[in-house]
Amino acid sequence: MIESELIFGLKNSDRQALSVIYDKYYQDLYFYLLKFYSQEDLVQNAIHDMFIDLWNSRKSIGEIKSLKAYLLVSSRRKLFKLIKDIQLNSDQNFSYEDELTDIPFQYSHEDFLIEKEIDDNRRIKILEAINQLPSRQKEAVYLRYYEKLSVEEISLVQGINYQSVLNNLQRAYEVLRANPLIVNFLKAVLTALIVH
Amino acid sequence: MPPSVIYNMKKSRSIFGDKQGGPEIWNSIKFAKRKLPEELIASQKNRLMEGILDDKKSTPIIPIQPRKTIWIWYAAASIVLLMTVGSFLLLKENNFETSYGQIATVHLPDGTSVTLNGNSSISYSPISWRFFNNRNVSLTGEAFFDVAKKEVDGKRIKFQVLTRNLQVEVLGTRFNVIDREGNESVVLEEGKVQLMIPDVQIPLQMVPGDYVGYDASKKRMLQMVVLTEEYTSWKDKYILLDNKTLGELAQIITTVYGKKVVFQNDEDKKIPLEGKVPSDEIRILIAALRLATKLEISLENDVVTVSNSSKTITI
Repeated sequence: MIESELIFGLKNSDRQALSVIYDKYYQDLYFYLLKFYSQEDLVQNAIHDMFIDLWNSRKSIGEIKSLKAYLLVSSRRKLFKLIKDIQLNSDQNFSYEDELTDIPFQYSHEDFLIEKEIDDNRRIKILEAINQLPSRQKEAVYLRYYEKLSVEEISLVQGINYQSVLNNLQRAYEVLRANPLIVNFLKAVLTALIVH
Repeated sequence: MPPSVIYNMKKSRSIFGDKQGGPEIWNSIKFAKRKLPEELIASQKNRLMEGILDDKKSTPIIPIQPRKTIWIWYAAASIVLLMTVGSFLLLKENNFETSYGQIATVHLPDGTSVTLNGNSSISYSPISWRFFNNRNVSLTGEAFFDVAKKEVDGKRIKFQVLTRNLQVEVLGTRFNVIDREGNESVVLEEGKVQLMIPDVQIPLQMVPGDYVGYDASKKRMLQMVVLTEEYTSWKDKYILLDNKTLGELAQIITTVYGKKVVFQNDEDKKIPLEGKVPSDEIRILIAALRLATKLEISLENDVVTVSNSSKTITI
């Protein structure tokens, strides 16, 4: 089923469409949210709540340019809200006026296939180097090269304009390219590819 | 691989716009394709599907924020509770359904009778019927409605049939409604019907003999005058074949009896039919078709096969 049919089905209360959407995007949403918060049960709840909301508001949903981008944004909002609620309950000094929009995007080493030849110590350093990039840049890279979103879709997910997304990707790329650790790592990977 | 590959990567921004492309640096830092266990996805999906089971009047969950004045939240909480209990009661529905090939008549509390064709169901909320004087019925599949007139305090109470997209409003009349995959339609036999169609602002007034079909995927509506018997004869356990082709009848056999129909020769779908066939017993229907079309039609393991192999005589 193509995306527009899924959206149309959803708006017309077709549970089958909801089910297909669920199967199609669940894992993408899951791993994306894990980058902001590594607690899996909260991630599951966020996705669950997001789908419940999606179903309940199906009749009033406006135009959706990209279903995947829409779901990524909605589930991220849900997750941030859940995190905010938890912080409210645990920390009485936490000011709830604070817009919790700045939970950083963090990679874990499960996110990368790093050759076995590279020892743990270097592996951690590589991950640190990548994680030192600003959150927005890391997220853009992830959405671009892992989720295969277009630049337009990334701008929808991040709520920034097209050019800013390009700039973020470009900056991330330049920083990593200047990092000897990454470059050496890439050399190692490429060599490994040739050897085998 | 020489290092130059890494250093000579193009700086041009246009690469970013290309869906497949991108600087090799990212293609080389390999993202692991992670996978979740299927059981996890399945159980989470189950949770969702159960969560939306009775969603028609579901109340939005109001987050409780402790910073606000407490009594507001107590008040809000009790309203939520009331609404939840209320919607729970409203959502309690009476449901009637038929299996493939089964025709059944349901008598509703207001005296209306509903004849369900095979593989169909209706449901209504007895609580809202009783306390809110509404007469709403949801339908999937196909049903013929013989609606009784109802008055409360001198005011006529309308009867409503809801399908996925259509809303049929009547006071007292006889009509047929279909809500099947790719086909939602209403045929009016007697009386007056008001029909609400998505994206059409003004309700459509139907008169006896009218057929209105709606195709949700194409957002298209078709209105025509028909011989209503063609559409309603099933309730009297026969199918009027005039103006139907073998292909159209095959559709009916699939949706109503749940039998797959396989044509060995696609041309056969276009064969025009006429007359009547009994519809309460699929085997009799097939025997009648075999006689009428002179084709070899067999029913085995829920599959109806239409072929003309043995009967063709070539000179």
